Amino acid sequence: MFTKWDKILIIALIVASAASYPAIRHFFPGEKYVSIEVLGEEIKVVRLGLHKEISVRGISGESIIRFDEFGARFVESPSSYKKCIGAGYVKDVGDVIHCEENGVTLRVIGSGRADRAKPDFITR
Amino acid sequence: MKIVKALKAKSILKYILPVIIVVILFSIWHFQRKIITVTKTRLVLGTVVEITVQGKNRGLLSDAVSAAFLRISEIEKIADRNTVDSEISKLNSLAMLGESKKIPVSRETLEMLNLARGVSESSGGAFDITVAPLVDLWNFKEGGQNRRIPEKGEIRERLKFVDYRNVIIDKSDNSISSDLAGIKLDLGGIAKGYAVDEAVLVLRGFGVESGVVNAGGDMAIIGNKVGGSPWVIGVQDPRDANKLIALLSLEDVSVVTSGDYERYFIHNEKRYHHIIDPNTGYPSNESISVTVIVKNTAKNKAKNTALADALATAIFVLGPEKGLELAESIDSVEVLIVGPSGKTFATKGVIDIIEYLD
Repeated sequence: MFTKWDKILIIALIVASAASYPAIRHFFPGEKYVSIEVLGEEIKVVRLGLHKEISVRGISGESIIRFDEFGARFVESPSSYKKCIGAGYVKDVGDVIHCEENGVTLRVIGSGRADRAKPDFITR
Repeated sequence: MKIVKALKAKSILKYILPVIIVVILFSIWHFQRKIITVTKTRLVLGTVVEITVQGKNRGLLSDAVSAAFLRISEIEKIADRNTVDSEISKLNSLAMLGESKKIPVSRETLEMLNLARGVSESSGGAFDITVAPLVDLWNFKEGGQNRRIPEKGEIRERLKFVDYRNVIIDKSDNSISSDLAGIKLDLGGIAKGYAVDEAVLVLRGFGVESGVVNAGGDMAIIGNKVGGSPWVIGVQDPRDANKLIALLSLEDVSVVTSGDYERYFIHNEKRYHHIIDPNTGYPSNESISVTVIVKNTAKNKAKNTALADALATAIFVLGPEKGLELAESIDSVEVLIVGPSGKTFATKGVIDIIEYLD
């Protein structure tokens, strides 16, 4: 059976593992990006892992997409059944959520697109 | 036996505990410095306007961005000559009727007119807000088959109405007047920048210290990114929309690009685009693209995007040689010009902020 000290040690290790997640994300940021598309046209590419909230106007209103350490997800959508909100996060390359009624799509893409996302903005 | 085990665990903890404490402290620090970025986009001013702000309070940032968009819409209602009840439309209607008496205008219109006048004078008329009759004649807003090259006589006729000096601005009573019937004002070359500046004022009023207001490439940069690094702005390759020609590392500036690739058509292998030389009535072939950067200083923090907007058009029309001369004559202004042959020209200060791409 576990002694009191064994239990303390186990709990301490669990706490340390959980607490080290931000450290890992800090020192080893992922090279994944989310492409935001409206009616199939890419309007923005955002790096995953950043804390951001982006509002995108689709065909029937505004979709709000939240980015955090867990990935990207819709938090607001004008669609009637809010299926895209219920779909949760996209986080791995190839993950896609499509808000059909509003025509907005989130698609995780790999680091091959990193160069395009290098500037924060483009003047044209 | 139990005592031995407890001692072993204690000695393990002695080494592990400091590590755990460090990790937990790092986590607390990491989450405390967590920066939130809020980005919203709207279709206003005839383009996609995107406002990005950074800070720690999501609610405040969101309110600031919404208020900034409201301000942009207000400017659009004043300055868009395609909106029937805008102030500038009303002014144009009166001017068409030959109304020569003084017409009171808003503070915003007066500011835009004054700024435009300054750029018109310093550029020898290369930027001119009375160019509207020519813009309408060329009609680059219409697509496809409606595009045509106007006859020389038509251009000559319209040129009679193009001269910024025909607009008399009276700052004493916030009014304008003109003796020339048929004159038509177009603030398109300055209003977008002005709206961006007004949005920045609203954001600063909310305490925003880091962000970018981007109106279709005309942008104002507030401070630098949270964390201290500059914002990186790509300059589009004027002949390939998927490429960049350079990266600019910028903080607390306005940056605007004008190019011959936004609205144009090709006829007999010649490119006809929307930047009209007010002196000839034809699209200017002196440049391919012009990027103007105006640094915010203690002296000039107010309307730098509007200034950059107007200067980008003026320098485009003037071309590399005279354009560089104009830019160098104004404090805190830098410019990157892609000349007619594709060669790039830049003011001296650009070297400190630019990374050219192959």
